[in-house]
Amino acid sequence: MSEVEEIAVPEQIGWDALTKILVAYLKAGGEKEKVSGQAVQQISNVSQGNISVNNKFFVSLGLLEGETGQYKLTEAGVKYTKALDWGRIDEAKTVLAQNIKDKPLVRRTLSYVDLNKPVTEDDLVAKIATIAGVTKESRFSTGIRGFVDMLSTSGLLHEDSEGRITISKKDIAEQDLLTDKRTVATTATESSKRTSIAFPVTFTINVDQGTDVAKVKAVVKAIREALSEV
Amino acid sequence: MSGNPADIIQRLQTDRGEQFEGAVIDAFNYLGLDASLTRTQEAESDGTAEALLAESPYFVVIECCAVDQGNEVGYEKIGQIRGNFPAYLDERRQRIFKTGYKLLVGKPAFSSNARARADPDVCLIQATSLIKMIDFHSKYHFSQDELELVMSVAGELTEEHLRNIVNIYQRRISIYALVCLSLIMGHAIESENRRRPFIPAEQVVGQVLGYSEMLQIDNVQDYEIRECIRDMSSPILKIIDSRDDSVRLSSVSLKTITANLGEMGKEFFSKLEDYSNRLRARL
Repeated sequence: MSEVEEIAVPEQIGWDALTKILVAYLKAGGEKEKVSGQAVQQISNVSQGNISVNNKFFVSLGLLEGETGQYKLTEAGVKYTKALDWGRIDEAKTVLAQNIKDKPLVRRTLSYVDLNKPVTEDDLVAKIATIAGVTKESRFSTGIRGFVDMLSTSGLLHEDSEGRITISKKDIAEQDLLTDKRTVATTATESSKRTSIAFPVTFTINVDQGTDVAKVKAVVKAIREALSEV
Repeated sequence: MSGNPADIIQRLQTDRGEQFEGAVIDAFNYLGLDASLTRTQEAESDGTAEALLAESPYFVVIECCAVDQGNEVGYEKIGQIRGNFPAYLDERRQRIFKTGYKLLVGKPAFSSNARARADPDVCLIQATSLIKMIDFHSKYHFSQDELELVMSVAGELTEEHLRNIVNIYQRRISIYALVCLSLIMGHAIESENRRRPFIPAEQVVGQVLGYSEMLQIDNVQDYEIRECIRDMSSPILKIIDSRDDSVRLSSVSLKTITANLGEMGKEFFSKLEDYSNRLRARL
């Protein structure tokens, strides 16, 4: 499955109903075998239509597997729903975050928030719709808001009391590390293709109270390392 | 709705149906949780309680069932609460809480099938045990963290589970009483003017260790005694005056202090009398 195919957003329903669907898969026996939407509907009280349109989203996050009409929980899906069903919410959040953070839609959403932080929920919903290639219809925006809630409850995103969304501090540290590595690797590869011409380069970095000093250091370090290979 | 423990206890003993549910919710509010009834809808339990002050915030989904005397609360209720629980896993609860518990409060008793099937994720509390919790709370003021020890029981809550929580307080009160006695000449508590003069705190520690052996209070440690001396010197308890490394009984009347401490004060005074009599009989 290509990355484009793996991106799917929820539709029609929010995170509360999405959670009910997933837990209903567990209770319907989806831990061991594929179950029908009808079985899930009876347990979750979410309409079969809404279950059906959201299965693709769960598959894209690696929580469900199967084909149209018949799905079962993946190992990650079982771990997550069991933890929830037993009331171990903290454990469930960790399982969810660990299993979805590298999925294309999640990764691109976190990158967007990291680069533009803080963002508002409306901005983020619009951006996710663009990433997923869906329209601004309410059935998508409702689902995408549910997806944002999912990222918040799993601890990957943090929303403050004024509705400003950032990625969680723990994730920022990981993202920065990744960004540093990617920056250095990309620049080094590109620079090796350039012809060797010496010219002076001057950078101006405006530092204020909101500047992340660690990031500035990382950028300067990456530039220095990249240029030293020219 | 009532916050009066005597009234809640009476309703837990006599009420049925929705009135019983209301009494259970009032009981959890009295215990210091934020509890409310879920006005019955399909696939929902009777109530919820939230502990937002706990170190690890938790919530409890509560199912209540009162059946006739001679009957038992059956295992069907276990399936019911397990089935209802996912309805409470909304975004807010997932964001705020670290744990969710399933609790079935029943009377007069649970069937053996219900007890067997409650493990590993449902706590069963008989109305009589909830009444005991109210009694203990009136005296010891359980924290939300201590109440979590109850909610996390898998299966039926027993007397022993509650003892494990209250033992900490009862032991502490025993040591308070022994410290107090070590500061009264001849252990004669009825005569309040027999305060001993300032004596080194370490001497008190030694005496209390001796008394605890004589009175067979298990394994009292010197650090516990020092902690108790510190507690008793606090402006809130004000039982002891301390000066440098020496202590003496404060000049506030013991009766006044114990009266101000309510139920816990009564237990303290009763232990003081008991230990005083036993020590005087032995020495």
